[in-house]
Amino acid sequence: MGGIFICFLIGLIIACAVVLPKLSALKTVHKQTGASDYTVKDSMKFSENRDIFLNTKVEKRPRNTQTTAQRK
Amino acid sequence: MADANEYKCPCCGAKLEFNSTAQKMKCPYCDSEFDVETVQDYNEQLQESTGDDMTWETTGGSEWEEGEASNIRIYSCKSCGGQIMAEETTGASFCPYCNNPVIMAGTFSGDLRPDLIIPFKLNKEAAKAAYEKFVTGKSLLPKVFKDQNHIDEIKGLYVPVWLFGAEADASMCFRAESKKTWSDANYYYTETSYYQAVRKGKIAFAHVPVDGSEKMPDDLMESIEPFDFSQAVDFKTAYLSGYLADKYDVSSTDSINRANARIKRSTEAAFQATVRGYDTVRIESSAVKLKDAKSQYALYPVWILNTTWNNTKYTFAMNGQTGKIVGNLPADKGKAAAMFLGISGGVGTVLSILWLLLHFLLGG
Repeated sequence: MGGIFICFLIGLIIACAVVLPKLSALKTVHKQTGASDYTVKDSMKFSENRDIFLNTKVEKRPRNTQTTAQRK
Repeated sequence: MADANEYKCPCCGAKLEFNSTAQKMKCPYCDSEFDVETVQDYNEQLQESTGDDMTWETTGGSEWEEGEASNIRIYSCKSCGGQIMAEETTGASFCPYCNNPVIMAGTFSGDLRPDLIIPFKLNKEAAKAAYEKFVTGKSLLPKVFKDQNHIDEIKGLYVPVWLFGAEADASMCFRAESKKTWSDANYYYTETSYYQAVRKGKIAFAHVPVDGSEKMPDDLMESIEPFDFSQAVDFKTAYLSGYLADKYDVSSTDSINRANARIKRSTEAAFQATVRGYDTVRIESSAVKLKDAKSQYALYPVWILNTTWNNTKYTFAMNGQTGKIVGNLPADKGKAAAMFLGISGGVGTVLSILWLLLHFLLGG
Protein backbone atom coordinates (compact mmCIF):
# COMPACT_ATOMS: atom_id res chain seq x y z
CA MET A 1 0.00 0.00 0.00
CA GLY A 2 2.90 2.31 0.82
CA GLY A 3 4.28 1.87 -2.71
CA ILE A 4 0.97 2.81 -4.33
CA PHE A 5 0.72 5.86 -2.09
CA ILE A 6 4.19 6.96 -3.24
CA CYS A 7 3.16 6.41 -6.89
CA PHE A 8 0.18 8.78 -6.50
CA LEU A 9 2.33 11.24 -4.57
CA ILE A 10 4.74 11.31 -7.55
CA GLY A 11 1.68 11.89 -9.78
CA LEU A 12 0.66 14.88 -7.65
CA ILE A 13 4.18 16.34 -7.81
CA ILE A 14 4.31 15.94 -11.62
CA ALA A 15 0.84 17.53 -11.94
CA CYS A 16 2.04 20.50 -9.87
CA ALA A 17 5.16 20.81 -12.03
CA VAL A 18 3.00 20.91 -15.19
CA VAL A 19 0.02 23.03 -14.05
CA LEU A 20 1.72 25.71 -11.89
CA PRO A 21 4.03 27.08 -14.66
CA LYS A 22 1.00 27.22 -16.98
CA LEU A 23 -0.90 29.26 -14.39
CA SER A 24 2.02 31.61 -13.75
CA ALA A 25 2.41 32.16 -17.52
CA LEU A 26 -0.98 33.92 -17.39
CA LYS A 27 0.45 36.61 -15.11
CA THR A 28 2.86 38.85 -16.99
CA VAL A 29 2.50 42.10 -15.04
CA HIS A 30 5.40 42.60 -12.64
CA LYS A 31 7.06 45.68 -11.21
CA GLN A 32 10.67 46.23 -12.20
CA THR A 33 13.11 45.58 -9.38
CA GLY A 34 15.90 47.82 -10.60
CA ALA A 35 17.08 50.10 -13.34
CA SER A 36 19.77 47.93 -14.93
CA ASP A 37 18.36 48.64 -18.42
CA TYR A 38 19.28 52.27 -17.92
CA THR A 39 22.88 52.06 -16.73
CA VAL A 40 25.22 54.03 -18.94
CA LYS A 41 27.60 51.64 -20.69
CA ASP A 42 31.09 51.43 -19.15
CA SER A 43 30.19 54.08 -16.57
CA MET A 44 31.05 51.93 -13.52
CA LYS A 45 34.41 53.00 -12.11
CA PHE A 46 35.89 52.16 -8.73
CA SER A 47 37.98 54.46 -6.55
CA GLU A 48 38.42 51.71 -3.96
CA ASN A 49 38.08 48.02 -4.61
CA ARG A 50 39.58 45.72 -2.00
CA ASP A 51 38.78 42.52 -0.18
CA ILE A 52 39.97 42.32 3.43
CA PHE A 53 40.55 38.98 5.08
CA LEU A 54 39.00 38.97 8.57
CA ASN A 55 39.50 35.52 10.06
CA THR A 56 39.02 31.80 9.65
CA LYS A 57 36.99 29.44 11.79
CA VAL A 58 37.20 25.66 11.76
CA GLU A 59 34.27 23.60 13.01
CA LYS A 60 34.44 19.83 13.42
CA ARG A 61 31.69 17.28 13.65
CA PRO A 62 32.29 13.67 14.68
CA ARG A 63 31.86 10.92 12.11
CA ASN A 64 29.22 8.35 12.99
CA THR A 65 31.81 5.56 13.23
CA GLN A 66 30.08 3.73 16.11
CA THR A 67 26.95 2.98 14.08
CA THR A 68 29.07 1.62 11.25
CA ALA A 69 30.97 -0.62 13.66
CA GLN A 70 27.76 -1.93 15.24
CA ARG A 71 26.33 -2.82 11.85
CA LYS A 72 29.44 -4.88 11.10
CA MET B 1 38.10 52.26 25.25
CA ALA B 2 34.39 53.06 25.28
CA ASP B 3 34.34 52.91 21.47
CA ALA B 4 35.89 49.44 21.50
CA ASN B 5 32.70 48.10 23.10
CA GLU B 6 30.75 49.18 20.04
CA TYR B 7 32.80 47.07 17.65
CA LYS B 8 30.77 44.41 15.92
CA CYS B 9 31.87 40.84 15.30
CA PRO B 10 32.18 40.35 11.51
CA CYS B 11 31.07 36.72 11.93
CA CYS B 12 27.92 37.02 14.05
CA GLY B 13 27.32 40.73 14.61
CA ALA B 14 27.68 40.56 18.43
CA LYS B 15 29.72 43.10 20.41
CA LEU B 16 33.41 42.27 20.55
CA GLU B 17 35.51 42.42 23.70
CA PHE B 18 39.26 42.89 24.07
CA ASN B 19 40.94 39.73 25.31
CA SER B 20 44.06 40.74 27.28
CA THR B 21 45.58 37.24 27.18
CA ALA B 22 45.37 36.86 23.42
CA GLN B 23 45.82 40.62 22.84
CA LYS B 24 43.01 40.35 20.32
CA MET B 25 39.36 41.30 19.98
CA LYS B 26 37.25 38.28 20.86
CA CYS B 27 33.57 37.53 20.35
CA PRO B 28 31.98 36.12 23.53
CA TYR B 29 29.27 34.42 21.45
CA CYS B 30 31.04 32.71 18.56
CA ASP B 31 34.61 32.73 19.98
CA SER B 32 36.04 34.34 16.85
CA GLU B 33 39.25 36.30 17.35
CA PHE B 34 40.42 39.30 15.34
CA ASP B 35 43.38 41.66 15.24
CA VAL B 36 42.53 45.05 16.70
CA GLU B 37 43.51 46.82 13.45
CA THR B 38 41.33 44.50 11.35
CA VAL B 39 38.27 45.14 13.52
CA GLN B 40 38.87 48.88 13.57
CA ASP B 41 39.18 49.00 9.79
CA TYR B 42 36.12 46.77 9.36
CA ASN B 43 33.91 48.96 11.56
CA GLU B 44 35.20 52.20 10.03
CA GLN B 45 34.26 50.96 6.57
CA LEU B 46 30.79 50.01 7.80
CA GLN B 47 30.19 53.44 9.33
CA GLU B 48 31.41 55.19 6.18
CA SER B 49 28.94 53.24 4.06
CA THR B 50 25.72 54.50 5.65
CA GLY B 51 23.36 57.30 4.77
CA ASP B 52 22.01 57.98 1.29
CA ASP B 53 21.85 61.39 -0.30
CA MET B 54 19.46 61.04 -3.23
CA THR B 55 18.13 64.49 -3.99
CA TRP B 56 17.05 65.61 -7.44
CA GLU B 57 16.79 68.75 -9.44
CA THR B 58 13.22 68.34 -10.70
CA THR B 59 13.36 70.62 -13.69
CA GLY B 60 11.56 68.41 -16.20
CA GLY B 61 9.03 69.96 -18.56
CA SER B 62 8.84 73.43 -19.99
CA GLU B 63 6.30 76.15 -20.74
CA TRP B 64 4.02 75.85 -23.76
CA GLU B 65 4.59 78.35 -26.51
CA GLU B 66 1.75 80.69 -27.30
CA GLY B 67 -0.86 79.04 -29.51
CA GLU B 68 0.99 75.70 -29.52
CA ALA B 69 -1.67 73.89 -27.52
CA SER B 70 -4.69 75.75 -28.90
CA ASN B 71 -5.91 72.73 -30.91
CA ILE B 72 -5.58 70.33 -27.97
CA ARG B 73 -8.77 69.45 -26.11
CA ILE B 74 -9.12 67.96 -22.67
CA TYR B 75 -11.53 65.11 -22.15
CA SER B 76 -12.66 64.04 -18.72
CA CYS B 77 -13.91 60.60 -17.66
CA LYS B 78 -16.81 60.87 -15.23
CA SER B 79 -16.28 57.30 -14.11
CA CYS B 80 -12.58 57.17 -13.13
CA GLY B 81 -11.82 60.89 -13.15
CA GLY B 82 -9.03 60.49 -15.70
CA GLN B 83 -8.21 63.40 -17.97
CA ILE B 84 -6.79 62.82 -21.42
CA MET B 85 -5.68 65.10 -24.20
CA ALA B 86 -6.43 64.74 -27.87
CA GLU B 87 -6.06 66.95 -30.89
CA GLU B 88 -9.26 68.64 -31.97
CA THR B 89 -9.40 66.54 -35.13
CA THR B 90 -8.69 63.24 -33.32
CA GLY B 91 -11.22 63.69 -30.52
CA ALA B 92 -11.97 61.11 -27.86
CA SER B 93 -15.14 59.31 -26.92
CA PHE B 94 -14.02 56.64 -24.46
CA CYS B 95 -11.59 56.61 -21.55
CA PRO B 96 -8.56 54.45 -22.47
CA TYR B 97 -8.27 53.16 -18.90
CA CYS B 98 -11.82 52.26 -17.85
CA ASN B 99 -13.51 52.34 -21.26
CA ASN B 100 -16.35 54.59 -20.06
CA PRO B 101 -17.55 57.58 -22.13
CA VAL B 102 -15.58 60.80 -21.76
CA ILE B 103 -16.81 64.36 -22.17
CA MET B 104 -14.90 67.35 -23.47
CA ALA B 105 -13.85 69.44 -20.52
CA GLY B 106 -12.37 72.36 -22.47
CA THR B 107 -9.25 73.50 -24.19
CA PHE B 108 -5.81 72.70 -22.89
CA SER B 109 -4.22 75.11 -20.45
CA GLY B 110 -1.56 75.08 -17.77
CA ASP B 111 0.66 72.09 -16.98
CA LEU B 112 4.11 71.52 -18.33
CA ARG B 113 5.06 70.90 -21.91
CA PRO B 114 6.79 67.55 -22.43
CA ASP B 115 10.50 67.78 -23.23
CA LEU B 116 10.59 64.63 -25.33
CA ILE B 117 8.37 62.09 -27.02
CA ILE B 118 8.94 58.60 -28.41
CA PRO B 119 6.63 58.41 -31.44
CA PHE B 120 4.50 55.32 -32.08
CA LYS B 121 6.31 52.84 -34.30
CA LEU B 122 3.66 50.10 -34.31
CA ASN B 123 0.10 50.58 -35.50
CA LYS B 124 -3.27 49.20 -34.34
CA GLU B 125 -2.98 46.13 -36.58
CA ALA B 126 0.34 45.27 -34.98
CA ALA B 127 -1.31 45.60 -31.55
CA LYS B 128 -4.13 43.25 -32.61
CA ALA B 129 -1.63 40.73 -34.00
CA ALA B 130 0.46 40.93 -30.81
CA TYR B 131 -2.64 40.31 -28.69
CA GLU B 132 -3.58 37.28 -30.80
CA LYS B 133 -0.08 35.87 -30.41
CA PHE B 134 -0.13 36.71 -26.70
CA VAL B 135 -3.23 34.59 -26.01
CA THR B 136 -2.16 31.70 -28.24
CA GLY B 137 -0.67 28.60 -26.67
CA LYS B 138 -2.01 29.32 -23.19
CA SER B 139 -3.97 26.19 -22.49
CA LEU B 140 -5.49 27.38 -19.19
CA LEU B 141 -6.93 30.56 -20.66
CA PRO B 142 -10.75 30.69 -21.03
CA LYS B 143 -11.68 30.08 -24.65
CA VAL B 144 -13.51 33.38 -25.06
CA PHE B 145 -10.24 35.25 -24.64
CA LYS B 146 -8.88 33.70 -27.76
CA ASP B 147 -11.61 35.33 -29.79
CA GLN B 148 -10.13 38.53 -31.13
CA ASN B 149 -13.56 40.16 -31.42
CA HIS B 150 -13.81 40.12 -27.67
CA ILE B 151 -11.40 43.07 -27.36
CA ASP B 152 -13.63 46.03 -26.55
CA GLU B 153 -11.23 48.80 -27.49
CA ILE B 154 -7.67 49.34 -28.66
CA LYS B 155 -6.33 52.83 -28.13
CA GLY B 156 -3.00 54.42 -28.80
CA LEU B 157 -2.08 56.47 -25.78
CA TYR B 158 0.93 58.61 -24.97
CA VAL B 159 1.64 58.00 -21.29
CA PRO B 160 3.45 60.72 -19.32
CA VAL B 161 6.70 59.58 -17.73
CA TRP B 162 9.37 61.30 -15.70
CA LEU B 163 12.86 60.33 -16.79
CA PHE B 164 15.56 60.41 -14.17
CA GLY B 165 19.28 60.45 -14.86
CA ALA B 166 22.16 60.76 -12.43
CA GLU B 167 25.60 59.58 -11.46
CA ALA B 168 25.43 57.38 -8.37
CA ASP B 169 28.45 57.78 -6.13
CA ALA B 170 28.33 54.71 -3.95
CA SER B 171 30.18 53.26 -1.00
CA MET B 172 29.38 49.67 -0.06
CA CYS B 173 30.59 46.89 2.20
CA PHE B 174 29.84 43.25 1.57
CA ARG B 175 30.44 40.27 3.79
CA ALA B 176 31.82 37.32 1.92
CA GLU B 177 32.43 33.77 3.05
CA SER B 178 34.40 30.89 1.61
CA LYS B 179 33.88 27.36 2.86
CA LYS B 180 36.18 24.39 2.62
CA THR B 181 35.27 20.91 3.91
CA TRP B 182 37.36 17.77 4.50
CA SER B 183 37.37 14.81 6.82
CA ASP B 184 39.68 12.36 8.59
CA ALA B 185 38.95 9.06 10.32
CA ASN B 186 37.10 10.71 13.20
CA TYR B 187 35.74 14.09 12.12
CA TYR B 188 34.20 16.16 9.35
CA TYR B 189 35.77 19.63 9.20
CA THR B 190 34.34 22.87 7.84
CA GLU B 191 36.65 25.83 7.51
CA THR B 192 34.90 29.16 6.99
CA SER B 193 36.95 32.18 5.95
CA TYR B 194 35.39 35.61 6.44
CA TYR B 195 36.14 38.64 4.27
CA GLN B 196 34.97 42.19 4.02
CA ALA B 197 34.72 43.48 0.46
CA VAL B 198 34.84 47.26 0.14
CA ARG B 199 33.61 48.87 -3.08
CA LYS B 200 33.63 52.61 -3.61
CA GLY B 201 32.98 54.19 -6.97
CA LYS B 202 30.40 55.50 -9.35
CA ILE B 203 27.93 54.32 -11.93
CA ALA B 204 25.70 56.40 -14.18
CA PHE B 205 22.01 55.97 -15.01
CA ALA B 206 20.15 57.66 -17.83
CA HIS B 207 16.43 58.02 -18.50
CA VAL B 208 15.07 55.80 -15.73
CA PRO B 209 11.32 56.10 -16.36
CA VAL B 210 8.67 56.56 -13.67
CA ASP B 211 5.00 56.54 -14.62
CA GLY B 212 3.55 60.06 -14.29
CA SER B 213 -0.07 58.99 -14.62
CA GLU B 214 -2.17 57.93 -11.68
CA LYS B 215 -4.65 56.10 -13.89
CA MET B 216 -2.01 54.01 -15.65
CA PRO B 217 -1.07 51.19 -13.27
CA ASP B 218 2.66 51.47 -12.43
CA ASP B 219 3.26 47.73 -12.68
CA LEU B 220 1.65 47.58 -16.14
CA MET B 221 3.81 50.46 -17.38
CA GLU B 222 6.99 48.97 -15.92
CA SER B 223 6.19 45.56 -17.40
CA ILE B 224 6.41 46.87 -20.97
CA GLU B 225 9.87 48.38 -20.42
CA PRO B 226 12.41 48.94 -21.77
CA PHE B 227 11.75 51.68 -24.30
CA ASP B 228 14.54 52.57 -26.72
CA PHE B 229 15.36 56.10 -25.70
CA SER B 230 17.64 56.66 -28.70
CA GLN B 231 14.46 57.11 -30.74
CA ALA B 232 13.13 59.91 -28.54
CA VAL B 233 12.70 63.26 -30.25
CA ASP B 234 11.88 66.78 -29.13
CA PHE B 235 8.19 67.08 -28.39
CA LYS B 236 5.90 68.51 -31.06
CA THR B 237 2.10 68.49 -30.89
CA ALA B 238 2.00 67.00 -34.41
CA TYR B 239 3.02 63.62 -32.92
CA LEU B 240 -0.26 63.53 -30.97
CA SER B 241 -2.31 63.44 -34.15
CA GLY B 242 -4.44 60.27 -34.21
CA TYR B 243 -3.57 59.33 -30.65
CA LEU B 244 -4.67 60.19 -27.15
CA ALA B 245 -2.31 61.61 -24.57
CA ASP B 246 -2.59 61.44 -20.83
CA LYS B 247 -1.81 64.47 -18.69
CA TYR B 248 0.63 63.91 -15.86
CA ASP B 249 -1.05 63.92 -12.50
CA VAL B 250 1.91 62.57 -10.52
CA SER B 251 4.57 65.25 -10.20
CA SER B 252 8.28 64.62 -10.71
CA THR B 253 8.80 65.24 -6.98
CA ASP B 254 6.32 62.49 -6.15
CA SER B 255 8.09 60.13 -8.56
CA ILE B 256 11.52 60.50 -6.96
CA ASN B 257 11.12 57.71 -4.41
CA ARG B 258 10.41 55.15 -7.12
CA ALA B 259 13.40 56.31 -9.19
CA ASN B 260 15.66 56.22 -6.12
CA ALA B 261 14.55 52.70 -5.17
CA ARG B 262 15.33 51.38 -8.65
CA ILE B 263 18.66 53.18 -8.95
CA LYS B 264 19.82 52.10 -5.49
CA ARG B 265 18.88 48.50 -6.13
CA SER B 266 20.72 48.36 -9.45
CA THR B 267 23.78 50.11 -8.04
CA GLU B 268 23.97 47.54 -5.25
CA ALA B 269 23.50 44.68 -7.71
CA ALA B 270 26.20 46.03 -10.05
CA PHE B 271 28.71 46.50 -7.21
CA GLN B 272 27.87 43.12 -5.66
CA ALA B 273 28.50 41.42 -9.01
CA THR B 274 32.16 42.46 -8.72
CA VAL B 275 32.62 40.55 -5.43
CA ARG B 276 33.63 37.23 -6.94
CA GLY B 277 35.24 33.99 -5.86
CA TYR B 278 33.26 33.43 -2.65
CA ASP B 279 30.58 30.94 -1.70
CA THR B 280 28.25 33.56 -0.21
CA VAL B 281 28.16 37.34 -0.49
CA ARG B 282 25.72 39.61 1.25
CA ILE B 283 25.48 43.36 1.55
CA GLU B 284 26.34 44.80 4.94
CA SER B 285 26.08 48.52 4.36
CA SER B 286 25.46 50.82 1.45
CA ALA B 287 25.40 54.55 0.85
CA VAL B 288 24.43 56.12 -2.45
CA LYS B 289 24.89 59.81 -3.20
CA LEU B 290 23.57 61.23 -6.45
CA LYS B 291 25.39 63.78 -8.59
CA ASP B 292 23.99 65.71 -11.58
CA ALA B 293 20.56 64.30 -10.74
CA LYS B 294 18.08 65.69 -13.23
CA SER B 295 14.64 64.78 -14.51
CA GLN B 296 12.89 65.24 -17.83
CA TYR B 297 9.25 65.00 -18.84
CA ALA B 298 8.43 62.70 -21.75
CA LEU B 299 5.55 60.91 -23.44
CA TYR B 300 5.88 57.19 -24.17
CA PRO B 301 3.71 55.32 -26.72
CA VAL B 302 1.44 52.57 -25.38
CA TRP B 303 -1.37 50.61 -26.99
CA ILE B 304 -4.08 49.93 -24.41
CA LEU B 305 -6.37 46.96 -24.99
CA ASN B 306 -9.44 46.49 -22.83
CA THR B 307 -11.63 43.45 -22.55
CA THR B 308 -14.38 42.26 -20.23
CA TRP B 309 -14.99 38.75 -19.03
CA ASN B 310 -17.32 37.59 -16.25
CA ASN B 311 -18.02 41.24 -15.38
CA THR B 312 -14.33 41.88 -14.75
CA LYS B 313 -12.34 44.33 -16.83
CA TYR B 314 -8.92 43.26 -18.07
CA THR B 315 -6.39 45.76 -19.37
CA PHE B 316 -3.44 44.87 -21.56
CA ALA B 317 -0.66 47.19 -22.57
CA MET B 318 1.66 46.98 -25.55
CA ASN B 319 4.85 48.97 -25.90
CA GLY B 320 4.08 51.10 -28.98
CA GLN B 321 7.75 51.05 -29.91
CA THR B 322 8.97 47.50 -29.29
CA GLY B 323 5.72 45.49 -29.38
CA LYS B 324 6.15 43.93 -25.94
CA ILE B 325 2.68 43.11 -24.64
CA VAL B 326 1.65 42.34 -21.06
CA GLY B 327 -1.50 41.85 -19.03
CA ASN B 328 -2.78 39.44 -16.45
CA LEU B 329 -5.07 36.86 -18.00
CA PRO B 330 -7.78 34.95 -16.15
CA ALA B 331 -7.40 31.22 -15.56
CA ASP B 332 -10.07 28.70 -16.40
CA LYS B 333 -10.27 27.08 -12.96
CA GLY B 334 -12.28 24.10 -14.25
CA LYS B 335 -9.67 23.40 -16.93
CA ALA B 336 -6.83 23.78 -14.42
CA ALA B 337 -8.50 21.38 -11.96
CA ALA B 338 -9.23 18.84 -14.71
CA MET B 339 -5.64 19.02 -15.95
CA PHE B 340 -4.27 18.64 -12.42
CA LEU B 341 -6.50 15.65 -11.57
CA GLY B 342 -5.92 14.06 -14.99
CA ILE B 343 -2.13 14.24 -14.76
CA SER B 344 -1.88 13.21 -11.11
CA GLY B 345 -4.43 10.38 -11.52
CA GLY B 346 -2.93 9.19 -14.81
CA VAL B 347 0.68 9.22 -13.67
CA GLY B 348 -0.29 7.71 -10.30
CA THR B 349 -2.22 4.87 -11.94
CA VAL B 350 0.51 4.05 -14.48
CA LEU B 351 3.22 4.07 -11.82
CA SER B 352 1.05 1.94 -9.49
CA ILE B 353 0.54 -0.69 -12.22
CA LEU B 354 4.27 -0.75 -12.94
CA TRP B 355 5.04 -0.99 -9.25
CA LEU B 356 2.57 -3.90 -8.76
CA LEU B 357 3.97 -5.72 -11.80
CA LEU B 358 7.50 -5.30 -10.52
CA HIS B 359 6.41 -6.39 -7.06
CA PHE B 360 4.77 -9.61 -8.33
CA LEU B 361 7.62 -10.45 -10.73
CA LEU B 362 10.31 -10.03 -8.10
CA GLY B 363 8.19 -11.50 -5.30
CA GLY B 364 6.92 -14.39 -7.37
